[in-house]
Amino acid sequence: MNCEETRARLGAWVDGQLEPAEVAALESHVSMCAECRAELKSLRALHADLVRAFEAPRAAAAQVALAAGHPLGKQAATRLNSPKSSAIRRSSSFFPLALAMAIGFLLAVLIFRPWKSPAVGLNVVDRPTTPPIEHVPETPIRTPSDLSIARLVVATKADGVEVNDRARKIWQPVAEISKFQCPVEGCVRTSSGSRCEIVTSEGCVVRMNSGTEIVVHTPARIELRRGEIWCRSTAAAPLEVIPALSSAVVKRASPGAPVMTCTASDAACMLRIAKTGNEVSVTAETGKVDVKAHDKSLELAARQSATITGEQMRLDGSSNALLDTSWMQPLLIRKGHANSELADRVNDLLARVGETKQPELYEREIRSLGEYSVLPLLRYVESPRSDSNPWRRTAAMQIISDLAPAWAIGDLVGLLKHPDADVRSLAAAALNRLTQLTQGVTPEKWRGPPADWQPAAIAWQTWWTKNADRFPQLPETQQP
Amino acid sequence: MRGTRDQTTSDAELVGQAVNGKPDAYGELARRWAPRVMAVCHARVRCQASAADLTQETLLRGFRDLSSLKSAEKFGAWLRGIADRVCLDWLRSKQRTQVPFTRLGSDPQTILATAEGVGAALEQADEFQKLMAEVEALPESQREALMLFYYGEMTYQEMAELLGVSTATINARLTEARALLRKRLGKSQRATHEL
Repeated sequence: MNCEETRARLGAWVDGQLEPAEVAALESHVSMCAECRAELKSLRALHADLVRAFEAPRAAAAQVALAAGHPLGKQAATRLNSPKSSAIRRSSSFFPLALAMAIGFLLAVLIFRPWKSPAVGLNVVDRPTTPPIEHVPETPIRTPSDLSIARLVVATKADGVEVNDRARKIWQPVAEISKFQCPVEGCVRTSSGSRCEIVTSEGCVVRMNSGTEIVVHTPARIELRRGEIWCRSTAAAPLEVIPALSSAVVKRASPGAPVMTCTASDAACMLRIAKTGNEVSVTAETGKVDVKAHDKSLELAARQSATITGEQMRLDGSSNALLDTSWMQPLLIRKGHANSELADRVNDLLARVGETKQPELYEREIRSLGEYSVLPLLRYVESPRSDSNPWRRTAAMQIISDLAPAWAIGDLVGLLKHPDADVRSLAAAALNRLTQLTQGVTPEKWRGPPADWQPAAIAWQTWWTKNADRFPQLPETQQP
Repeated sequence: MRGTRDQTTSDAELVGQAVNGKPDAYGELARRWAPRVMAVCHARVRCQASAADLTQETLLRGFRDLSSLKSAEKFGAWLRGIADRVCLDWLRSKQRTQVPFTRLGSDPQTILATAEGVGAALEQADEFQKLMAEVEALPESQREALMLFYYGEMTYQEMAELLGVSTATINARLTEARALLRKRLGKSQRATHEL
């Protein structure tokens, strides 16, 4: 492949539109051609800028969609369903909402995972900012702690989480995370824009996306009424999740026998009820997940999905659990910089940058973590495993260069001696952004022979030794 | 999500459901196509705020006229045609003197919380505005292709089907667009440094 052919395809490569064979051919040429390599780098920078420049317009489009979709959806039933309508008639294969409720099927999901220790949550918000809609009784709902079967670990907005003990049928917002109590048969819901993580007394983790409502029947049995959850259970006790579509009749193989059998380990999954309310999707994230419905059963391997409607259960094939769980990022961030799950997520996202047809999606996910992506990325760049994929290392370094805050200065100074010219140059660029200093060497010169930059590297180290206490350190975090 | 991820229901099926009066079927279509329609409108009128208004108008007209769509599979191209007409009407009516209602009371610029300090955030916003201004100044075919890609998160294949061209043409338009942007932005930066 010559330079002209290569440059004609670089854009498609950056856009993730090429087949692996084409990517390999381009990589081969670029690894040997400095000019094309520079062209690729420039394109990637422009692409990243364009992605960010279009963030606000895309958000505006989403708002338009929201505003246009809601009233139109309601009007459709009255305006379009008229005798004069259309040449297009298709018989609907979907149940009306009311009918869907009458369908008898049971979805039980068993998830296992060896559980290390419960997460330590952070108190996020102290007081609700708006009064609850329902009347709050003079005696607030109190559940003796020994009868509470779940605790709130973390929430994006504590007052966006509400609990209802079902006896009094009153929803109460959570005043403080530490005071969250959930009784048996208690309901928990998240408002729009709020997400939370709860842990049951059996050690099962349930994360709730915004606009989600669950009933915690027991510490090991949860009903999903609407919205989306991600859950992970312990090996000691399976977690059974039942969507609101299931019938009231639970078929049992034999009296007293468990509804499901337990066969998996180290598993986590997501469930989502469609907004139409008549189908449920289940995705296994890790491990194997058993799904039973319509007297059939499916065992989902990691990243497999199934959809259950009123009539059938079908296997959907592979899904992108990594991007599908993007909504959990605000929860992971609240667990601090050094939490291992956040680091694993960043590493998984980074692994897909440059490997898939849509690298910018994964890069965007990493960037959306802001400075919380920086620590895992630094550890990756600093580790020997980054040597196996210089492109990925450069991508990681570019993000670090753009996002690293002041507490990363020490690490950046250390990277000035890295054997990879891209790493040195991008570290220097970040240091310049953070300190307005260059030690007399521009970022581009860091790509040159050692004589061009070694004195500056020593100067930076000397400067850092004298000035480290002027800059913030990595914020203290609580490890889950 | 780029491409047709997790679309358990096709556009054609949703059109059928909407015509049959299923609640939220058209709402789902609107959610899917709003970013792409906005890309088309923004490319036509070169103003993001006006594009938002025109996108709403397009979606409303699409809802109103849905029963006249003869081939449900062509919903996207049909909606794009409506967007073209809506934008043309707008341009002809010289409504540029009116302030789009979506601009009133709204913050048109969302700044990513990645830069430290207000000063850096403002500088970043300014850079993005310059970039967007250059995008809006591109030749129309390149402008539309670029906006569809970054707004609508579409694959080359999807864009080719929507615009009625080949994927090679899409690639060429995007390549030319980016080359022109880099050239113009490079000139702009040099001019700034020379001041």
